[in-house]
Amino acid sequence: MAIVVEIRSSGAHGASRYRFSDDALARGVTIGRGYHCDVMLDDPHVASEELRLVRTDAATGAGSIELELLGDGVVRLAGQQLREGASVPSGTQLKLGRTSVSLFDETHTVPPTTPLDILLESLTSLASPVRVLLAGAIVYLLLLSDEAASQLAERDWLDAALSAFSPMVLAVLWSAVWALVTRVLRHEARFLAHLLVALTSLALSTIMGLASELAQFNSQDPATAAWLDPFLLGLLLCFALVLHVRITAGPMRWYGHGVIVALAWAFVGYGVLEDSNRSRDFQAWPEYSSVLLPPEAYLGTPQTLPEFLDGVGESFDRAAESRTIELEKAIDDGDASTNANTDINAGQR
Amino acid sequence: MSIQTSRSAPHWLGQLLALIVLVSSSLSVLAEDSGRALWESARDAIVQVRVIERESDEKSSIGSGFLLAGHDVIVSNFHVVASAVHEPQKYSLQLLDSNGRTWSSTIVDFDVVHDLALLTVPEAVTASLAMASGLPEQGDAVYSLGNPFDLGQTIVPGTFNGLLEASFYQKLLFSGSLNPGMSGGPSINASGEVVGVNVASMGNQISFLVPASYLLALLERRQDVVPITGYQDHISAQLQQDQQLKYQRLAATSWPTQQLGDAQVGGSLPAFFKCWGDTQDEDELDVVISRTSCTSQDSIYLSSSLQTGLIDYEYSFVRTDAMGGLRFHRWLSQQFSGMRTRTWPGKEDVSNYDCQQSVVSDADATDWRMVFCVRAYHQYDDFFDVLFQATSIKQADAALASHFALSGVSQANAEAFLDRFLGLQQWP
Repeated sequence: MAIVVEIRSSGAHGASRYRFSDDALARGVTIGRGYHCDVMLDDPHVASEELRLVRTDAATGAGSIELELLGDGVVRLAGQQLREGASVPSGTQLKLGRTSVSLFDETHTVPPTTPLDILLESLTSLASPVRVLLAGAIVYLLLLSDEAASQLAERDWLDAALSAFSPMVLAVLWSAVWALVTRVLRHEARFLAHLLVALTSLALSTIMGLASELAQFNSQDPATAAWLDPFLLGLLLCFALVLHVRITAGPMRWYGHGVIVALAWAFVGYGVLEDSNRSRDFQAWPEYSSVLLPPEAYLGTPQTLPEFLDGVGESFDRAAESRTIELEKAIDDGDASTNANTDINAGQR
Repeated sequence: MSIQTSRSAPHWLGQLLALIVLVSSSLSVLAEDSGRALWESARDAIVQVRVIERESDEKSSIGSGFLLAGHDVIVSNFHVVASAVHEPQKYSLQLLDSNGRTWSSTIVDFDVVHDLALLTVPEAVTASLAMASGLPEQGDAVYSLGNPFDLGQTIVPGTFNGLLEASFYQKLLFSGSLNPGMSGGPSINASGEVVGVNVASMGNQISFLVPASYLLALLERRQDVVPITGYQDHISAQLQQDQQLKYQRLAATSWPTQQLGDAQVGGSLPAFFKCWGDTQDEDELDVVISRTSCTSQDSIYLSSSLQTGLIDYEYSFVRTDAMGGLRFHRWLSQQFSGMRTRTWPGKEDVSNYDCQQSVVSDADATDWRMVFCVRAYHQYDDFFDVLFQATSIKQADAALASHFALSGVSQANAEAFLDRFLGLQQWP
C-alpha cells in the first residue's frame, strides 16, 4: 500500500504531500536537505540526507514503516529524540529540525479539522519573531481600546505605552511559566505560541471588560456585573487554559477539554459563591453600579423624573420590608436588644 | 539720638511693665481665689456617673452629673447613660458623690436630641447648683466641672464665646478643655450658677455646652420619677418631633442658588450648614474640579454605634480639555463611585442599603445618571439613612455631579428634600 508523506514547514500555512508507491518504499524513500533526496526540505536544521523510509514487507503492502537515521540532525518522535532507527505505524508525526513530517497510508483519512485546531494552528504557525511582533501589535491596538486609547488620541505617547506595558510584562511572565512546563513535558518550550495565547487572552479580556461596562451602563443594575463578569471570566479562562494545555500537552481527547472547562467553571463558581455569601452580610456601603460611559453608549430610553421618583418610593418600601424581616429574624434568634419595648429600668439595682 | 532715646526708655517703660505685672498678678490671684471659691461651693453638688457592667460589677464608662437647685434630679448627658438605656439587662447606673460614697441610680427622663438625661438623686446628695438667669457675655469667665479620665473631680477655667452658628440647635461655645469623663458636668459662671451642661469637645480648647434653656425645657416636661417603659418609643417620638421641626425650618427657608462652572446649583444656607468650596486643577489629567460642600453640625447621639440627624450636600463641576469621552466618563466613575453618610452604624442598627439607579432625562432634556440608596433603622420605625447622587452625562468634556446624604430621616421628609434638591440644579 502506498504511503503519503506530509510536510509542514515552520511558519508556513498548509502542507505539501508526496505519494510513494510500494516499489518506491521497497527501494527506500530519503528525506533531507539535499537535492538528491526524494523529499527535499528547506530547513537549515536538517541534514542533507536525514532519513530513509523503508517498507519491511513491501510484497503485501501491509505492516509498519522502518525509519533509518542517515544524518546528524535532530529527529524527534513524540517529543523524544530518536537515537537509532525505529519501526513506526501509519499516522506517525516526526519533527525534523523545524519541519513536521507525517506518514500516512494512502487509505488514511484525515480527521475533520475543528475550529479550535484551526485557531491553534494559526497561532502556533506564527512562530517567527517578526510575526509575533505583528500579532503583538494587533493585541496592543486592542489594549488601546482601554485606558491607552484615549492617551494615544491625546498623543500622550509615554502614558499610552506605560498603560499597555504592564499587561504585556504579565503576559510574558505567564508565557514563560507555561513554556517551562512545556519544555519539561515535550522537550520544546514553544514560548512564542504561549505568548500569543496570553496576548490574545489579554485582548479578549479588554474587550470583555468593555462589554461588561456597556451592559452595566445600559442596565443600570449592579446585578448585571454580578452574573456577567463571572460568565465572561469563565469564557476567557476556558479559552486560555485549553489553548495553553494543548500547546503544552499536544492534541487531547474531548474529555481532556471537558476537565479543563470544568475546572475553569468550578473556579468561577467558587468566586460567585463567595461573593454571594458576602453580599448577604451587612454592608456599610451601598452597592450600585458606578459605571459611567459617554451618552452615546446608552442605548435605552432614559426614565422620566416622575418614573425615577416612583422607583425611589419603592426603594423605601423594600428597605422597610427588609427591616421587618431582619427584626423578625432577630426576635426568632432571641436577641433581646431588638425588642422595641424593653423596660429600661428592669433589673437595675 | 535714637540711642539716647532707647537708653532713656527703660526708665518709664520699666515702671509701666512693673504696673502691668502687678495688675496681672492681682488679677491672677483674684482668678485663683475665684476658682477656688467656686470649686469649694460647687464640689458637693457634683457626682461621677458610672455605667456599671453587671457581670463584672465594674464601671464600663464614666461621666459626670450635678444636682440642680429646686429639682430633685441629677442632670447629666444622654450619651453618658445611653448604654444603660439600651441594654438595662447588661448595664446599671451608679453615682459617686464628693465624699467617695456610691449610690445606685435610675433614669428619670432624657432629651436625646439635646443630649440631656435626668437621674434619680441619692439621699445623701443635698448640695445643689442654681441655674443662671441668662447667658454670660462673650469673653466672660466660665468654669467647667467634672471627672476627666476618672482622675477625680476637677474644675477647668475657660471663656464663654457665644452661641454656635450654622446649626439647627443652639450650643454654647466654651473655650476651655473638656475631657472624656466631664460630659454631663456643669459649666458655671463666676457667680457659681449653671450656664450649660458639658457635652462635647473638638480639642484645642474648643468645647461645647448644652444651653441651660434646653435643660429647663426638659425639667418642665419631665415625667415623674418613675421607671420609663418603652424607651425606644420615647426616643422615637423625640426624634420624630425633632425631625419635623428641622425639616420644616429647612422647607420654610429660602434656598438660594449659585453658579458652579456652567451649572446652577443649590447655594449655602448659613443658618444651618457650614459650607466649603475648592477648585482643583489636576494638571496630569487636564481636569478642573470646582466643588462646594455643606454639612450640618447637629449629630444626635443614640448609641456608641448610631449617631444620626445629619444633612450633607455637595456639588462638583468637572471640566476637561484633553481627556477623551470614554476616559473622562471612566474617570468620573472612579471619582463618584463611593457615597456614604458621615455616621457608621453597625448591622444591629440598620439594614443594608437598597439602591435605585437609572439614566434619567429631566424637564430640560438633560440626561443624568441618578442613584438613590436607602436603608432602614432597625429600632426606629420610619427612620432611614438616604444617599443620592446625580451625574450629568450629556457632555463628553464636562459634568455636574451632585450628592446629598441624610441620616435619620422619614420617607416623606427625604422625598421632599430630594424634590427640592433636584429643583435647584440646572445644567445648560
